[in-house]
Amino acid sequence: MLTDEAKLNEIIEHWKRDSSYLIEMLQDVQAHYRYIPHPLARRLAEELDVPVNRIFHIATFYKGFTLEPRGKFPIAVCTGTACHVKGGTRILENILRDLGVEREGQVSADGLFSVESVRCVGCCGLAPVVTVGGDVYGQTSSVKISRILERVRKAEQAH
Amino acid sequence: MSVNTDTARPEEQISPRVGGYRMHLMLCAGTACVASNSYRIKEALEREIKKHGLANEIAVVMTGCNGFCAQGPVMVVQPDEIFYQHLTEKDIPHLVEEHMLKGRPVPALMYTPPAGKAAIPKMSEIGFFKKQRLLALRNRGLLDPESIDEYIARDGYRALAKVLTEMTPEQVVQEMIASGLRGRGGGGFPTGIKWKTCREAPGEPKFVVCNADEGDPGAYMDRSIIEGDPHSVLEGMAIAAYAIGSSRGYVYIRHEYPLALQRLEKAIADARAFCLLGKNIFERGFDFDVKIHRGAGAFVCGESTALMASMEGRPGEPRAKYIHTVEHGLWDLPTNLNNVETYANVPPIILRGAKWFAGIGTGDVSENPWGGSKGTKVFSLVGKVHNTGLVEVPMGITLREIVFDIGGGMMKGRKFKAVQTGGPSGGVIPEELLDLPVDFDQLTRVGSMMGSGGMIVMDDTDCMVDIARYFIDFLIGESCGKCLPCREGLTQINAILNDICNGTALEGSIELLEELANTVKECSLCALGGSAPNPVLSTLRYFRSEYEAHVKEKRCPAGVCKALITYSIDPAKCTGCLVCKRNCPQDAIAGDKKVVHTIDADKCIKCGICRDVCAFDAVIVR
Repeated sequence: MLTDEAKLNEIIEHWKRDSSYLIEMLQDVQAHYRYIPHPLARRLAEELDVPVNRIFHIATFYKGFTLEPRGKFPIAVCTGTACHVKGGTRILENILRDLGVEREGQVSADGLFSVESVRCVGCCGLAPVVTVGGDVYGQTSSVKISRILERVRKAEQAH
Repeated sequence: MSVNTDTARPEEQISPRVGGYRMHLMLCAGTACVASNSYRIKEALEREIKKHGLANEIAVVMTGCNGFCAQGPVMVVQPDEIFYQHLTEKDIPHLVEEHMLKGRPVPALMYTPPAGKAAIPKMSEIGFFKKQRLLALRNRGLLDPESIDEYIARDGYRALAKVLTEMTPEQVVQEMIASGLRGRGGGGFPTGIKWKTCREAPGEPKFVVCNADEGDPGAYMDRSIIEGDPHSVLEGMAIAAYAIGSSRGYVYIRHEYPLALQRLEKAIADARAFCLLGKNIFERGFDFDVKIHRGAGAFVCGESTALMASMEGRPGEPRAKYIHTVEHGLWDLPTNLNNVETYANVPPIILRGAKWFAGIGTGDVSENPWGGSKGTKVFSLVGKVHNTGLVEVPMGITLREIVFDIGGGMMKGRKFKAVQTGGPSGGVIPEELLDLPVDFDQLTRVGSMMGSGGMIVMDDTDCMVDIARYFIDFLIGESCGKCLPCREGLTQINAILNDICNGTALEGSIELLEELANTVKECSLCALGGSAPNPVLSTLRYFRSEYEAHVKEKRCPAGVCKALITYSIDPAKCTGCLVCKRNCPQDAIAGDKKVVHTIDADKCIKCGICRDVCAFDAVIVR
């Protein structure tokens, strides 16, 4: 794995140090670290010569960014309208209880999961939809998801 | 399909691959079908085809979204147009042997309508597809979206060639105005008028931007078009660029759509390699290239000024709109912004003429571009109907036809209650308006809007107060916070709605809610705030009695609002199967095998799992 600094420089150079691609740079940082680490946000501001508050303004304005680490397998519960009417919101509440976490974004005690609601994954025909670690599960239910989480836990223990 | 005397309707031409192979298996690789494992089906098909020595006769093609997403993975066998659904890996050996080797299609894997007994083999005879008319989705399921050759073989880039070699930019603009095409992103602004204004606006360079930041929850038309036919969007953008005098294009796309992003990147690279993007296109001295900007999850970025702020690398906060983006848009220069579906409609209009396009739909646009709704609209038909998926229908079709003929009616025999259109800015339409013809003006007249095309069907178990609260909660999260009516008004509306749902609302809450909603509507800065109260106002307009039941009787008639409902078990239906008891996370269910179960209301947290797992519909919510 590259050092923090080298990876950040690689991202900045990829976007040719053009600050109109700041959002893309932050997306790449997030794709790599699964969140936006504070020190890197500051470095990015220095490198591009933009105020650091602009970085945090963007990172908190857009829903796609998080300033705290996520679980190894982030869970996204779609709460778009189609999923809402088919019980997506209830599934979210049940996953929060299943993981024993109090709020969205919080990492479970075993470090494996964090859960968040997202507004529409774009598979409305398959509602309700939940993604676990990027895999999409359609026409799902609280019980099915809890089985999937159990399977991931077992596979991780076996490692 | 509707009667049409044209001989060369593009939607009926067969795939260009036919010729080399005797049979093509068009397997859907849209996001929904990929989630249902269509790539594993592909491997299984290829394995079996090889095993039977048919590899030179039968080709498997991964296509864009077929539209019938709930039945995924779906596959259409061409040229016979046999439709197979819900394929699993273990079906494949039998299917290949029977159909591909012996020529006997397999009815068990075909679609059977909810009320019918016999399977329907042909795709075009299935109710879901019958009333559709494909213009924007003209290549749906007929080509490999990653192959520019296949797009070209289906008249791709011919419209671009035509405008560059036979038409002046002014003629292109006139053609678009005459066609009556109105913006498919929701606003319904006449596309030709927008192009004309942008063309005449002073300032260089000009930009062509495609809005692919499909933020409406419950809608995925744009995703499907880009995944299934990315070149149609690029071609539409190039034509727009020629018409307004621009050489630089941008697509602003949601980063939540990785597959669409990947296919669009490939399409741009291929178009460059074919000199269909870049310098001196068709050797006519016309330059045009397209770059991609990724969105980061902000509904407000569908608003034009917010979208452009975001493209400049800033937070997506709108500004006042008395300065139009066609004159002062991206980097303060004239910018033409259209939505994905709008651009996809452009090539057929150029090829087949404005008159043909204006012949489909409602009203008359010959004098006034706002005088009607022309062409088709793609809707994401989802919610509580049998057939969920993506449908493209001519403007003017009734809601009843969409919900009952195409959608196949309500699931589980439940009663239709309302259909929600227009996303968070739209509204609900009740049963008594089901015969309403669907077009821009009719939907607005009844208090909803076209929006980008989400159509969510709801039944008697959906609470309208909860739906209003759902959208307001969504909009609070998406409000940029710049102006007070939207920022504070929505928060207060939400507080009142929460009280109503929790049964703690005071008399007079409904009137207060109405007043506040109207204030937010009047005073907000941008269209997000101005339309944000619509879900409240339209549910109040048609379902006021449901609000009153919550406030006066402390009752949720649909059985949704947790504070006002209890779960119990119907002794007449319960078979004592223990499934709910085993799945209850609270140990709140008592009972033994073959003994009617009961729920302890003190322990019950109303999570709904018992109702989900009960196979006998024995859990009652009141």
